[in-house]
Amino acid sequence: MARQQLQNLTEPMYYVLLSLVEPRHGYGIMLFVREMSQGRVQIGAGTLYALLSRFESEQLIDLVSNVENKKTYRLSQEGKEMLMKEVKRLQTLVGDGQKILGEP
Amino acid sequence: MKQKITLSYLNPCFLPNIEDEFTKQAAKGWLIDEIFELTMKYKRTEPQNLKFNIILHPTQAMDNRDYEKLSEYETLCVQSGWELRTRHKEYSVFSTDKLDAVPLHFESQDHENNVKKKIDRFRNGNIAIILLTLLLLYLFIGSHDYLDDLSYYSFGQTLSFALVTCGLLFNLVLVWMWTKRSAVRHHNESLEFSDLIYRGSKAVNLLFVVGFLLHLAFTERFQMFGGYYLVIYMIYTNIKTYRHSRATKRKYSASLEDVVILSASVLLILLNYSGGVNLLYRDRFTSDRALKLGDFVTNPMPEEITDHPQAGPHILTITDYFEQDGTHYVQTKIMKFDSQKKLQSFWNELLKHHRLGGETIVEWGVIGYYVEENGLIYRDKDEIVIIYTDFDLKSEANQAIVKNRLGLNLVGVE
Repeated sequence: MARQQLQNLTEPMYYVLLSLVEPRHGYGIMLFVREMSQGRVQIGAGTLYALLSRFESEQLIDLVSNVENKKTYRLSQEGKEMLMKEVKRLQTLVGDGQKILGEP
Repeated sequence: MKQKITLSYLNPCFLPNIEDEFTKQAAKGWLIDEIFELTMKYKRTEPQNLKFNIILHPTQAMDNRDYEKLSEYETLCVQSGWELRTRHKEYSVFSTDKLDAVPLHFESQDHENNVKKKIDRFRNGNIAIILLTLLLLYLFIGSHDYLDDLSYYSFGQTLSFALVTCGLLFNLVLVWMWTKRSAVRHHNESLEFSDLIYRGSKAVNLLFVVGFLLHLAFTERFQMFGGYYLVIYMIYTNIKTYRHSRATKRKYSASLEDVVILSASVLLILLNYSGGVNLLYRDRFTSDRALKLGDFVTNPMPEEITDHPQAGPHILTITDYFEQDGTHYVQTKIMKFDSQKKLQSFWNELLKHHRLGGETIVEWGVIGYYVEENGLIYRDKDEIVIIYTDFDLKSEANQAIVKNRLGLNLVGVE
């Protein structure tokens, strides 16, 4: 059921997974997401912690290191596949939109 | 004054309001320092513009005493610019001086679910206590059959019951309002009650505490014993938690401790209330309070008088006299001097522990009430004693004997 809910990623989920293509720790993820989205998407530490716990239990990310409670994660193979699927889904959505509305 | 303590607690319905309260206090130079069961301690600082966030950790993390996870969580919060101020049970309070900082639980469905679960537990607990209180109220009202009129004692009981029940009902209304608002609120919108409701809630809960204290003040002995024991236990628990947190720098208690504390508290509340109910049902069998006056002229005084628990220094006041089937009856009220040398009724004596325990079980089993209704057991709290005698108390000579031997003045006997 939990996996079913992850079929469509929310914006914060998408960006968090995207940030973990490279190994990153919690605060690094927050900085990356803010920078990548040019400040549009912001993730609270509490939210991020919950997301990381969930991704880890779903084996979408792997723990790379844990130094003084500073955990570093990286996207797992399963996580990469999910992210790729999501990118394709989004491309399809954008493509369909452009067919009707034209290039913005 | 370097610190101040306010009467308040972390009601899950009011987390955004409490965050605002912390901000206002910080602006006045009071920084939240410690949170206890019913109070919050602030320390004096320079006035600061701070933003606060209260995090409610998932219960599972607390159940497993997963300090590492909590520590990891808090480290992340600290890395993102928040400072840990204090913890209380499964709550952590953070603050930051960056007023535009991203809230810790921004867009967090998980946190919202945690709060909802907490509120559900809060509501269920309240419902359980209300049902229990109503049951006690029912027993209490039933006990009025055994009272001649509504005494100050029962008035106090009724008042405190009412206050306690009102406090609980108010909390239920709050939960209902919270749930209703939660269902219609827009995403990312903080679920905050108006300042008026928040302050009203604090006032009602203060009333709740006052009701509890009244409850103690208007009742005696075992009830007070149970109540005071509960209060002392709560103070002790707070000190213990405080010392534990100082020693380990972890200001929350694990769930096992919570369960033990909660169970002990419930038990003590039961003892407290049942003590009160038991006093209303003060045991005194008719045979215990009927004394025969026939042998008064004999010397020495019969043991049944001298060894009777109601004999000794107590004063008998004649309240009625009547004759039936040739036997004369004197109805007396037993009085005694209290520690302030004031006369008071004697009936309010301590029940023995085993009897208290036994009756508590019976009372709480409800059946006790019906057993009594059907006459299977007989109890009352009447301080009246009936003395019967073969003497004709209308005879002045006999009246003089009674007066000389017992110090009873049979005024009104004709």
